[in-house]
Amino acid sequence: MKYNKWTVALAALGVVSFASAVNAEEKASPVMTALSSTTISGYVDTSAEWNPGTGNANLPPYKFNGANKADGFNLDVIQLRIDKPLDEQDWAAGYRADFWFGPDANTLGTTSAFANGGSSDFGIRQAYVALRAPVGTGLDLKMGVFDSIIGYESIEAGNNPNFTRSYGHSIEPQTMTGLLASYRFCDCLSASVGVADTWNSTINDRAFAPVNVAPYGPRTEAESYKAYMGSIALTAPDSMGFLSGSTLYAGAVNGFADVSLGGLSPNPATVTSYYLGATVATPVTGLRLGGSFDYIDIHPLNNDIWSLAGYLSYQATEKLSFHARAEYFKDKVADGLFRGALFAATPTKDRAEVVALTATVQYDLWKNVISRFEVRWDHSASGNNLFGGTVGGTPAEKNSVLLAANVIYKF
Amino acid sequence: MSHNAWTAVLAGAGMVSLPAAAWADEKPSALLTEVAPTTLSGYVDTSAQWNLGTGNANTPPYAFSGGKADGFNLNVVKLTLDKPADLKEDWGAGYKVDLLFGPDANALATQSTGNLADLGVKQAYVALHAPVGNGLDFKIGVWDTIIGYEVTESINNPNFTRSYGYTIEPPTHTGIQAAYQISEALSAIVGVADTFGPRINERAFPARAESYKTYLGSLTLTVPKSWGFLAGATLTGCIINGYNSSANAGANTGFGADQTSWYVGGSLNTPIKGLKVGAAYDYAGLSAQSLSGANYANAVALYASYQATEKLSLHARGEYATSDALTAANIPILGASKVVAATGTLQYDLWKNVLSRIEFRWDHAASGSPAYGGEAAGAAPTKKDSFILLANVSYKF
Repeated sequence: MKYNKWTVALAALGVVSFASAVNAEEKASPVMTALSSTTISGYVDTSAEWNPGTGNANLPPYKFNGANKADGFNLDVIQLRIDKPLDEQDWAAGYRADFWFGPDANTLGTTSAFANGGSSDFGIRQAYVALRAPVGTGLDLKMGVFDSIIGYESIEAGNNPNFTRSYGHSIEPQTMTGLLASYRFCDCLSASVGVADTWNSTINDRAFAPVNVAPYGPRTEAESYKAYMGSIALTAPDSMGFLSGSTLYAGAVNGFADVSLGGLSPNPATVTSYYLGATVATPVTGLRLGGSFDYIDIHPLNNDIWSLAGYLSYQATEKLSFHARAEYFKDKVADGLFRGALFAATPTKDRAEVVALTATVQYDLWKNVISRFEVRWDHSASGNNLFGGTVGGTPAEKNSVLLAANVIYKF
Repeated sequence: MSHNAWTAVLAGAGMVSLPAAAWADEKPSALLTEVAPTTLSGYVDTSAQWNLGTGNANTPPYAFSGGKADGFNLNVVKLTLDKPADLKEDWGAGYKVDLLFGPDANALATQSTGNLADLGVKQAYVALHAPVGNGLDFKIGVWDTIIGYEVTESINNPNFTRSYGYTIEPPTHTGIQAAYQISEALSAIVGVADTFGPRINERAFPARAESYKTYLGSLTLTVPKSWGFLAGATLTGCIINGYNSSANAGANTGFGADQTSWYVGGSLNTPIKGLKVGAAYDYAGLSAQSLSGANYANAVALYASYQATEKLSLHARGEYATSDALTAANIPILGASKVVAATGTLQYDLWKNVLSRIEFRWDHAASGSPAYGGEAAGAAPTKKDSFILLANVSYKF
């Protein structure tokens, strides 16, 4: 894959996160085709997990986790990317198609509304045409299916500092079908705005009848009802010394959603997601810090769902790196519902509050391979049992501990 | 993708339509893999559609229209792996695999299980060349139908939306076909397949005998170079007969029946530079296997394309379609028993390898009853006219 100056600029927009930027610095290993600007790349993501203790009926509900991954070996996903990035021309054009194969494709949940929302071991992560118009410094457009513009972590595990995902990532919108415009005002300021069918990940979804996607039923909004999104990114210039390259990013997405996070009533509803995140370079060589705040507002409900996370990465040697994440997640949907958004199946008095600590050691022993070990501790800070047990909805523990090995080959 | 002499001949056999030929003139953007003769190509097809007025419970039911009203759409991503048979060798061999990803894969409905899915095999065949006479070319596996003016790939059609003629045609078959160039002006294709398709590996039995297959044939006349401005004009006739259990193949009651489809179509250059015209007639008859079948659907369409400048082209289609066949929900398969449709498309190729066009389509229920509109799922139609304004952006690689 080639990275031109515009890609770097868009990376500053936060579309590529802190950790992915680290990966982007590595030499990519695409299969080059005869048409030199087009590449085929991807990765195979596998893992092995040990959940100490007995009972996997109530696991921490962060994205891509589940009973089928506990205490065993896992194929997570295979991603195949066919890509022709924008070049430097005024009227440049390109495209990207990301295909997912394997268990995580089910969680991705992009199967088109045509297929009535059914899950599958195949999914389209992204499929868009990229266009540039010579407006000002250049207006970049994406039309089709593209990743959400907000969030610190990527849905691509290899681009994240940790293997397991944060709760913040788990409550963010993931995939949009629509039109996105990105513009770079100057070296230190860039922005994106977009319009999409819905907040949901379902491709070609609609907010209005007669679209009727199981299990949520018919849509109820007007035909003109769309999802809107916007973001802005500040990047510290070279003149700021060790802070050079640090970023501050803010974004919001508003639109129709199934509110599948929670299986709530009323359902579906309009939601607004807010995100604020930053990456900070430090005077210590190899040390980087990050922080993120995610908030989701489910309009018909008096909810209080948000996540605050801090990240730390230290590149000790060329091959050895350490990554830590600490997160506080509050999951209160509405008084009297006795359930949360992610903790939907867990009686939690009136809320779930979780503290999660994750530590990862990554040692890149093999070329093109990410190999890392991770320990994660999730703790119920609200005093309720949230984890463990052998019956779904009847947790027996306040703590959940996970040991995981993750091996990813990037090609 | 490489295009050899035989590909050009087969294009003349009606396999590639008027605008497709225009695309074939452009330099392809295929990708050579490390296996030198194999190419990787395809496209990403997106659109944004506005259905004027309120109510999308009943939209014009032309192919690939479902679920796309009033919003942004990924239509499909197509990947093609292709190694054409080497015609310089007496016994040349090759293959082609066309994979569709995205919502349109559901509409194509080639899944061998019969279930809807965002992944579909459009074509997957072995191509063989045998040194018989001028050379006999075989395709064994899953291949596009030999019938019709328009093709499944929207980027190869003059208009983004499909005609009713295309809608009542079968899109793919599983079987074997043989193509032969009898002379410079005459070529033929014959084939046998499991069923009308498109479901891969479908069988006609137990509804029919195990030996019951679908048979197809076509003849194409190509005007020779000595005919002046008419040179290259084509006239194609096709017929397909077999068992059709699929609602996607048209003129179908949902219970399975024997179907015969006829097609006559041609494209014509004109003395006006850049102006091409075309015409197509499609007929699908059920059970009685004649032009007065128990159930039928037919469509006649006229096409005009004008290449105004290198980047700007205009495309128009007028169509009249009738049918007495109903869906399983007792709705006319064309939306109304008589439909008039007019489509105008303005294409401007602003970006390299990108097809960008704006299209306006008007469908009119000429049977006198409303066929379109209605808001809630299952609501009765309330309008006799449907107006669609859309933008289509596709990247071809």
